[in-house]
Amino acid sequence: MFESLMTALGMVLDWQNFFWSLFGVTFGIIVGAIPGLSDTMAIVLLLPFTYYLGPIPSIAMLMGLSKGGNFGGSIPAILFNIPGTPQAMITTFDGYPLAKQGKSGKALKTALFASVTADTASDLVLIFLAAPVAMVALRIGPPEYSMILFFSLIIISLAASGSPCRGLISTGIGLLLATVGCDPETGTLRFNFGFIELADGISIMPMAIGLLAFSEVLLQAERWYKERNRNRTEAVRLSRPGTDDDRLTPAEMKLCLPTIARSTLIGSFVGIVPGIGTTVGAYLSYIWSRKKSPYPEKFGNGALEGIAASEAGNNAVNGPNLVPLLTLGIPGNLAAALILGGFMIKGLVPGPQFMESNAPMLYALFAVLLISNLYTLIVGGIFVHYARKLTNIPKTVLFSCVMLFSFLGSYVNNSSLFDVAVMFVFGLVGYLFSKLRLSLPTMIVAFFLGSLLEHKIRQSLTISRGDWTIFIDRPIACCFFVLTVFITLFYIVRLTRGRKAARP
Amino acid sequence: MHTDRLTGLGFLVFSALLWFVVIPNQTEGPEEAFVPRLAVLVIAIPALIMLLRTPGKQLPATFEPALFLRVSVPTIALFLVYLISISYIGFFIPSFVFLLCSLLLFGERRKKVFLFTPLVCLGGIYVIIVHFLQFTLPRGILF
Repeated sequence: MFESLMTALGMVLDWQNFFWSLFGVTFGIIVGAIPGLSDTMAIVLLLPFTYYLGPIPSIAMLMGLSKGGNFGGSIPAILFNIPGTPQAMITTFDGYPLAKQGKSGKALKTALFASVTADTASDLVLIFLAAPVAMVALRIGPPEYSMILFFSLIIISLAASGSPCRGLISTGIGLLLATVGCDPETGTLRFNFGFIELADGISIMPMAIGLLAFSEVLLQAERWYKERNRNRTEAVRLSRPGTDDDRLTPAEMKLCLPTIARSTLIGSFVGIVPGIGTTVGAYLSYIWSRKKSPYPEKFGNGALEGIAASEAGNNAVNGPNLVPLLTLGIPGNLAAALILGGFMIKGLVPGPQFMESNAPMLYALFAVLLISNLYTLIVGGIFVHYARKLTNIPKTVLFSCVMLFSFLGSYVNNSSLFDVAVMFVFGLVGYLFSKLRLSLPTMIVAFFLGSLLEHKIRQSLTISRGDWTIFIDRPIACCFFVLTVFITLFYIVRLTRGRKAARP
Repeated sequence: MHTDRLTGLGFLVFSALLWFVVIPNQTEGPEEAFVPRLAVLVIAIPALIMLLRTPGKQLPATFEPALFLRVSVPTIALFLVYLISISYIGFFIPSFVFLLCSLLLFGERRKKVFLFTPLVCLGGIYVIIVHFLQFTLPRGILF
């Protein structure tokens, strides 16, 4: 243990980690602050460039992007009532009213304080939970693993999208895409349709860039074209630097602390369960804080606790979301799935054995998470003063640049124009998915888990010589099987009741 | 027909095509076909539910043909031309033209933006990707 910690310390104290983490946080804040570009787009655009970095600097950059992007999303939410990221939507409830009162500086600093505090606390939850969960995970065999994966996929399908049917269809497509390429057992080619480039399966990078960046340009361009002649959001009066309206006083920090603590707990719990996501974390925290507040009427009119609850709730999801990723190899949300892509690029396979075989690296990653939080506080503190100028980048320039960078990002992967074509095709698929209201994050997570699920199911069947009862014979597997059935039934009942109530 | 039912029908047809045509042709045995067939079931069952159940409230349309034709089709066509031209001409000239055309397409009219966007973007790519990272971008008859 001590030896591992010392090795980890040696790994962390490399200038590259500090530099790339700072770069990730800064780029993440900038991208998150631009309405329409989310933290996941920041990750997806820079993911291909991790080829040029070592494992720790790569992960440091990706974590920085995720953390910076998460906070960055609150800036346009407060200044323009336009959430920079989906999870920042709840921040608009109180952030924008407060900014309209001329207290934009106070609102932004509350968001920053709550984000960093909750993120750090949630990272500690990850640090303390990862080892016990990994110990349990080490004792599970292929049948248990298959059922845990199956359970996660069902949860993600049902909870991550508005419609369970559409969520399941998205999962099915993700699983199907994961089977393209060589069969994991026999090595024969499947579903490559004569393209030898697909022998190793669909490359993660071009696929993710197409689905998340290229398709988003098409969708946003349509939306922007439609709305560009409409009235713009009322501009807020910026707070004067140095005044009380611009800073967060110690008394206000103290006032927000119980809300942050409560929201961190809610966010952490939400984060551990795969698929629920940051928006739910933020929303539940907001509702709970309003309920517990002695002044619930202030919520929605510029309450500092409202901003703190929303930001703490969504940032607290980040750390615990990595628990299933690092211990079981199951990404809890889209950002975690992309970070898993970053691990895979570096040849690292998160899962039960990861902690045992890469303990120093894991400790180094934990340190990197805390460093990223410090950077978010520093860079975010500087950035809030210049945010307004940077968020005014013309949409026309953004769309053109994102398309160009989509090309670059998918090309640098293998120096192959075939990958760019794959990105283009998946861009169209992503566009179609959005028009059909299917869930892209669900499909991407299912794609990541598909090959692992197939491998584990086939391993289990080999062990049992084709006997399917192996999936319910063992206690842990049976427990997850029952949980899956119970949750599916719960959703069916809820859906049926909801539809009956909606009927005239 | 309600959007939900139409989506359900579409995916049901897609599932049937996969089950009866694509999977038998692209796999060599039941073991190889097991997970693909499982995935098809995961698509087909909810698709069947969507087709058969009484549809809920009709949600606002997500697809607007006029917008699709005005914005998305030209963008897709432009990117396709860009992709093809890069393999013949090389990276920088088509990228320059692509940036100008896309700015024009998205409705940009300011001269400064037309001047600075390609210069900053491609200049940055040259310095960081080509010079600093020593990465070779696609080459053609020009550069």
